[in-house]
Amino acid sequence: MTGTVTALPSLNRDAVEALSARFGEPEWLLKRRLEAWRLFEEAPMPDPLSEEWRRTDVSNMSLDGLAPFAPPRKAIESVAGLPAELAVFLDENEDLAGRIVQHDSDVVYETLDQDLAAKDVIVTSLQSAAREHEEIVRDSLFTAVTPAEWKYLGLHGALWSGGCLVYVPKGVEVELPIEYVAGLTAERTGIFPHLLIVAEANSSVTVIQEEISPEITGLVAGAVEVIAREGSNVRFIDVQRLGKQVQNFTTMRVLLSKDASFQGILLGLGGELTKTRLDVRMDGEGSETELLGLVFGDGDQHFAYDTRQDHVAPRTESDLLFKSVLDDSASFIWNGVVEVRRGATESAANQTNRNLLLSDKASASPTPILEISAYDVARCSHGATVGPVDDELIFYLQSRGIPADEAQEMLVDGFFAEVLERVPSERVQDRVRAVLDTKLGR
Amino acid sequence: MNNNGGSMASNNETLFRVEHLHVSVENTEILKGVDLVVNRGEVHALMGPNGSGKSTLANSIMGHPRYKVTQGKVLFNGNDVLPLTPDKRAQLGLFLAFQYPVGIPGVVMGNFMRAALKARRGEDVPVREFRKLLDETLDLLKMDPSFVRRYVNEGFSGGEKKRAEVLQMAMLKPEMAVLDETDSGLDIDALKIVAEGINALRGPDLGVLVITHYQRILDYITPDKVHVLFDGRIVKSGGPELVHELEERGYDWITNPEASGAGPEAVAAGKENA
Repeated sequence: MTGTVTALPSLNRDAVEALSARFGEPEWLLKRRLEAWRLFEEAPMPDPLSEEWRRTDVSNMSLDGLAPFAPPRKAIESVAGLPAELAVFLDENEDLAGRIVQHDSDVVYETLDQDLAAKDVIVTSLQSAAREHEEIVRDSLFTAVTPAEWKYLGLHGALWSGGCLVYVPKGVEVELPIEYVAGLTAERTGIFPHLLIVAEANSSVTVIQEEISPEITGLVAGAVEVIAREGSNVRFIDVQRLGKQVQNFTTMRVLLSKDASFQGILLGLGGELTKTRLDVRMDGEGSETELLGLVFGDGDQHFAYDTRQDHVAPRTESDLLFKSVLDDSASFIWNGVVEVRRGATESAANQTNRNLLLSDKASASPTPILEISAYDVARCSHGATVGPVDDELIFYLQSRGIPADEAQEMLVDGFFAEVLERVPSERVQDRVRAVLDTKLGR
Repeated sequence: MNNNGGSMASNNETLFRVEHLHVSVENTEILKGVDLVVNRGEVHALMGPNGSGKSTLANSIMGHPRYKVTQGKVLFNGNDVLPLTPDKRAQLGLFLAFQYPVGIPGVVMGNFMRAALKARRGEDVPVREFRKLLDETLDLLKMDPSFVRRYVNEGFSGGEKKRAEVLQMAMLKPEMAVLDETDSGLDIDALKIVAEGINALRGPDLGVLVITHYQRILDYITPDKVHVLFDGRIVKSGGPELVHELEERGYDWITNPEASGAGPEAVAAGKENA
């Protein structure tokens, strides 16, 4: 593509080549991108009648006029150097082990604790990792999530940029969280953040992903891949605070080896249309998964979550707890599958979804699904509820002098507390609380 | 403070007055004209068989939205509180100890109490003062300090729930407290603790309406006046001796005088009070 400097690039195959050239990528990577582009072109748009999509309005999922990437953004010295519309979301003094900040299509800031760097921990943009840590990226990128899965992942495979690689060598424990920020400020533009976490045996790490934008239109189609090797412990927190006209499609997949454990916490607050898939495949015996979700929707926000707790190996355990609070005409969909394969004997799984409706027009439709092929399962349970705030609870609080609106706030906080208290790190808890307070206008 | 809660001198100042109160629930009239006056410093007992409307009266006084007042007034310090939302009534100093306190998941007792106290006082309560008050009150009710970290009424035993109600009353220092079957579901030890707690709060400024089905709690809290509610009306009022009469004779002689052989004057006397 040669186009003029000022014109927005168009969404086509030339854009893929232009992007690859802009980052000076190795040939193998360009090849993968073009293959993904082919898959994107071949794939149909989602079928509105399919189980996965029928409760989501796909009619305004359009890529027309969408720029495939933004003009290059300059590197910054600190988070304060970001445009105010992004900086407002971030704390410059956050106690972190490392931080990668992506502004539109470019990673503009990278930092990593010296001691961790000395222990060969890698926290860098995926873009530079493709050159500097080629082997890791080549072996792991798109092994958990693949561009063939659906149309937007094809697009993601062709156009991902910036990105973040977190690599923790064998036996290394990273105490403080590592943060990956993906911020969008370019109008009518798509960004395709990609987070790749590789935790080697007996390592441990916490990664926070922040997806942020001001009130603009645009698309964030991301992917998160977690490869947790034997005995490793990965905690992942996704905070989605995009503007209310941004569409957000993210596929997250976690592969767990023997005795590995994963805790995922998804915080859905922003976006116009959010469609998130989170799958955990427990390939290794004795691996464990805990999935927590907190969604607060208002206006006409739509949140759709597909989760899969895939028990492949024996004695694997998983537990899911998703809670949503929905105001105005916000809607929430959850399709949660627990799959216990034949070999996954003595495994245990639970899934719970609770939804609190603050308005008559708000809605939630949870669908828990159990697919069990193993003969001897230790425990398998699921439950889902949808309902308004209980008047009796409001009356009780009011009878103690607490005004109705404050009472409702207390009940919403209380509703989320059950999830929050399962977050072991107080630092992370505080952070999630602060994000919720902001959303609740406090 | 008088341990047995014996009759506390009333200063004859009308604190609380229910006037000809009619209340319906889902278009069925439950209260059919209740009149009741509680002076400052007095403890009244409201007794009556199941279904007579005792809880309806308690909930209506506090403003539960399910109970529709179709006629009458509830005057507190001379002002009709019926137009007020429940929180406003509570802020003025009305208190209801619930028969069935609801569990509030995720809301921690301590935070809840602080919010309630702030609302009652109309200003923030300094942490130190709050803690001190809380500790003293827990002590009074023989409650474990860990209690304040638990979720409100969640997983509480029957006794714990009722104690928590009295704890709230003690902290919020209402002027008029309605205790709706605070004795039900308590074993004798828990009942004594709850009664002691209530007695400790008695004083010249507080009015109390103890609603109960049984006389049991009234062995520990001696009322100044006793009323019998039946079929939505107060059919008899008297002094503390009425409790023992009810204990011996049951409710039938009041509620069904012909069958029990009581004279028509008993009914007439009841009507006069209604």
